[in-house]
Amino acid sequence: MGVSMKAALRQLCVAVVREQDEQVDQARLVGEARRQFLARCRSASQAAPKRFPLWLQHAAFSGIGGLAAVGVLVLWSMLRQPLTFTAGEALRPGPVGQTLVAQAQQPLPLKFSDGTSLVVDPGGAARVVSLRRNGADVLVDRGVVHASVVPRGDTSWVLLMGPYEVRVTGTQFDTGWDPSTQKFFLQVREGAVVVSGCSLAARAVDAGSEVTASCPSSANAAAKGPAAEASSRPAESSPSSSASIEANPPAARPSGLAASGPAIPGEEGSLSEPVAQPSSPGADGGVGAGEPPWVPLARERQYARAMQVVGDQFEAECQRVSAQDLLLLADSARFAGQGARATQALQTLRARFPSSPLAGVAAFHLGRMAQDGGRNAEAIAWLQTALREQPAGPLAREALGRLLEAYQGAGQGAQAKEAAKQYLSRYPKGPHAALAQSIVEK
Amino acid sequence: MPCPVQHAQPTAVVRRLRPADQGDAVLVSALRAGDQAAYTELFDRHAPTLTRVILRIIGTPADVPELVNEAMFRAIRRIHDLEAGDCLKSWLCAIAVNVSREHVRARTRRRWFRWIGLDDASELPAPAADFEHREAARELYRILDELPVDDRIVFAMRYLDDRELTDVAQACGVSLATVKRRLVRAEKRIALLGRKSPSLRGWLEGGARWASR
Repeated sequence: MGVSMKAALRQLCVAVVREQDEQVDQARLVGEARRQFLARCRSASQAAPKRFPLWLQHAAFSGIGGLAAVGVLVLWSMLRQPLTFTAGEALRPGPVGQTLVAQAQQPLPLKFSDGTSLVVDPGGAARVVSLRRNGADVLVDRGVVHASVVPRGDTSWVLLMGPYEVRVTGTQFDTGWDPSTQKFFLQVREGAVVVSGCSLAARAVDAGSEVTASCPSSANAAAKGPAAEASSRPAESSPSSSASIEANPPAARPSGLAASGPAIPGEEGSLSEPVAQPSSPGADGGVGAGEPPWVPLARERQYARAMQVVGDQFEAECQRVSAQDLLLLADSARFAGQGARATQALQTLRARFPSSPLAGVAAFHLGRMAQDGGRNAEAIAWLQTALREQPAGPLAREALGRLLEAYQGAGQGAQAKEAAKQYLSRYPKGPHAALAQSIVEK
Repeated sequence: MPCPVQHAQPTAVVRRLRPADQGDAVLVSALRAGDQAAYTELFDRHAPTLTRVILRIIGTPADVPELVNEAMFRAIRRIHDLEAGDCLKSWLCAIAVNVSREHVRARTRRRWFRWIGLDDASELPAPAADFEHREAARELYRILDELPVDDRIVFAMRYLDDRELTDVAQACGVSLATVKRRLVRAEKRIALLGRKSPSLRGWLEGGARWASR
């Protein structure tokens, strides 16, 4: 299979896709599918639950009951003991009261003997201040913690963050605390928790809800509630632990969001300023911080995973990373099927680094994406820009070839002919030479 | 008179997230909990992608809504099998590929029993369409019908849906090497059959493919 045949197949498929998109109204198909889907949902919810024969139900209940009784006995004996936990991937026994710092680009998992797990995001710090048979008190010094608490009867877990306190009986949630800005964040994924502290009276927060709060230092100091007391106790009782946090120099802190504070998502309402501050770009957009955690994933072509790591910090990353990494971010988004984000990353690259050679590369990619999306006019504009900015760049041949395709697709015969002549004079044996020749001879 | 000192006030915002505000991980949790609103959100968020993938693979629009529904309900039924909520999109895509594969196989079986081919491509209503392009589309899908279904899927996802090979491998649940092998096989077969087809010969030999529309 030669390159020219591959190119011919690609050209054929582009035409077939365009034909298909013109003839088939996909929005109508989605609408029709939605109508059927909703009808099927309604009928499924109205249908009577399927019943098994009575004898089978009795047998099943008896079996389950017997197993449950054995399970309860085993659990009862296990739950008499206080929990234990391990920290890190090496599964070392976790020390109580000692600050556990997640290193740069490396989350720190804490796994407890009841199945509960807490994962401290890179750059975060937390300590287990007490262990009980049915839970633990965990102080989050800074950063984001992802919690998955296994419910077991009277399970009692408390996460302490500055003046805030999250009480848990069994649920999954993400929470974060930034001591420098006194901002608190909680998003509940499953179950419910009770949150309190500072100006926030104790209240239940269930799945699908989030809390964002800030507590200025003066108010924090003035907070006399049990939450504030609880949060301050461990810090005062273990000065060496505090020192270990402070000993963590800024340079050793993780890159990305954690470099300028914990990765607490942006908030709405009263908390409008982003936590992550854009860094000033260097000559080519380099920033002082280290490599963002998604970059190695993107380099390994794990684009979907890289985009998961970027998550809702995409905007902040666009404003923070270097031009080279913006290009990588755009590739990751594109290959992960997030075209709009790819476009945004490329446009941000051009806006932030207009004099960088990579701005021309971004223009080329924007043109290519527009062309692949059938937007020829837009493609022409971007490809012209790419050629203007990088007339002899490594992508110039491809840009010119695509430009004449775009002219042709847009029905601009004269411009296509002109571009074809230019192409043949510069790249007589280029991959678009046959196309250019056919346009010139037409 | 000294100016009064203004102290920053504590703030707290508690809000109910709309499904659209939440990531796929939250959506998966809601689906696992049987939240009906999450079903609709799942559909609205991912149905357009599934529609496009299925259409590119099977080539004809008539059965697409039904297949999208089948993929969606299959996903809802198996949502507890999904380990990481953040992989929802690629997982759905894999389900859509499976549904499409079953559909193509069933269609092939029906044709064997009928002894005649169903001219599915004629479903494209294109009275004013460019005849050459319409014929090319019809003929390409006719050739795809002759390919092994797994080769067809890889080709359709790569060339028609413009997906990266790694994405194709993930959606098909096979290794990258297997995808490459299937793709090469499909390319060769399509090139061979295409050259014999009056509608495609020009495209594959550098003729009509350059015709502007």
